Amino acid sequence: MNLDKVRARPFLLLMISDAVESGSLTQEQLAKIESQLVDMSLKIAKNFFSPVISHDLKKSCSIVLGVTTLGLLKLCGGDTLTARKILLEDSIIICFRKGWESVNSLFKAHGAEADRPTLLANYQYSDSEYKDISSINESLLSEQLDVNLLKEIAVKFKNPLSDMDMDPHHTDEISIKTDVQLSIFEALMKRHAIGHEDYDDFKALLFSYLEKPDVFSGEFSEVAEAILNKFGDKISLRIEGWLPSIEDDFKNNFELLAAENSGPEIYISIFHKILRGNINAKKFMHAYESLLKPEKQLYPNLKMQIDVEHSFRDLAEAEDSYLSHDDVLSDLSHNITNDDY
Amino acid sequence: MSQEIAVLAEKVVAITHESGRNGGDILEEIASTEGDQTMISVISELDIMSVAKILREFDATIPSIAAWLMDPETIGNMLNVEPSYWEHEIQKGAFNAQDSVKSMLSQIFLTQSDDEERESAILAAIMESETGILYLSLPFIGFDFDSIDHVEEPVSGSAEELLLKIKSLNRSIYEAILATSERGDFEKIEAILKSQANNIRVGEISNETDDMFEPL
Repeated sequence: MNLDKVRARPFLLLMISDAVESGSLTQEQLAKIESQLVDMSLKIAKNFFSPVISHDLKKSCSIVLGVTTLGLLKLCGGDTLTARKILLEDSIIICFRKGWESVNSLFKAHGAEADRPTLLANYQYSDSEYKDISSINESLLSEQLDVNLLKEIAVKFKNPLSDMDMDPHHTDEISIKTDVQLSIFEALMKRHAIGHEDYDDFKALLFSYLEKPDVFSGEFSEVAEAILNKFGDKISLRIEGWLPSIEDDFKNNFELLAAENSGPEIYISIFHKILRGNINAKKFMHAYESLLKPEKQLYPNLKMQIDVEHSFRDLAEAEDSYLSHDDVLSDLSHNITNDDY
Repeated sequence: MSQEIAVLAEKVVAITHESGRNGGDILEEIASTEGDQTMISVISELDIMSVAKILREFDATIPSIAAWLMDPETIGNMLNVEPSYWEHEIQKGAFNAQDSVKSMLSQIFLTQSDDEERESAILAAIMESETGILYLSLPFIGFDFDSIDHVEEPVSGSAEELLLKIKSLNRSIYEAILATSERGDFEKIEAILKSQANNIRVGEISNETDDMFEPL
């Protein structure tokens, strides 16, 4: 039974008040614990907040209560007898330090730029409530570790075909998963020695997958496993979780292919679907140029993006062919000699 | 201390707790009804954090009468603890410690009729503290000292005016400010001033907590 939950008070305070009631903790010892809690709160306030703002002082006290309770719970494993022994024979500072270990791991997971006062505020625990501070701590840490893991995966699978927003500070699981999907898809193409401009072979492969889903599933698993083997446990486990939905997405997209369309159209449309429209136009210029004339109308947006790319390229070329400095000077001198001054 | 002063001081502290600006206004009211001397006595009964809170609410355009009448030593002590208010302001956003210090120093040095003897004493009192030179230098980090025009009158209320005022009061402190602000790192100095002020505010903490942030 969780005493702290039933009595709606932090475990630390329950242990202290029980020890006082039973007479095992003397008034002197209690006074010492109190003054140490106060001192630690002041230190938190002056290191992370403003010791002149009453709100900040209050916050610091709640943080000390939270971190110390967390530490005591870790040290005694929830056992009240052990907890009492620690309070009587050791010090409350030991408990805080044990809890601070967890806080430190959280700081580290967030990196050097982290907003530590804000992170610390998660550990606030007031004296008249019940909080599962251990679980709160665990989920804070595991959430951040997962964010870090996603960032790592994002870097490894970054794909030039994709034009999805890849802000390193903002990890979006869906776009990272899409990059993994692209990488599996490219591995499948490679397996059949199909290059990015072999549109007819590409089309033939996809329709063979559509006709024989079992063959596709078999190849998919093999290719996916080869990719997973390249990475450590954590990354491969995280990616493995996405595989069923990636496989389904492929199969659904195959169903939607139009057999009457040309190879280049099939090529563009499958990447378009996988990337939910966010394709990098630069990589699809060749395929677009190879489309049958009426098919080009299917991709007005892609045409627009390609036109923009073209105009950039023309601009760069125009700059190169621009008159050299000497030409400009000789032109000027020519004008001057012709003047009638 | 007379009963009357104690009562007034208590009232000022209570009002200041809610708003530093109102605390300053009540001091001014005391000065106008009871006389400057009474107000000075009241200020000397206030805790230093309250004094700092009041003066932070004023600047060179609307100076607090308290800044004119406080003794140099109190001003020095007050500037020592004033950085404790910064962190809270930073968290609220749109706060710049450099501007804040500049406005504080301008209020003290640029708004009164020239009483050089008193101003020199204030400067000396600020320098009494280990971090006094850092406080004085903070507004001038990143300042282009070559741009100072020694012929034209400086713009009223500018960093230049403040710097030239300090120069006229004490050449060697001016030189020290130049050296510190040219070499100094703004963030480090800001952190030192904050931490020094917080330490004064928090006072002695038992050394039992020295290792509280060490992993177990």
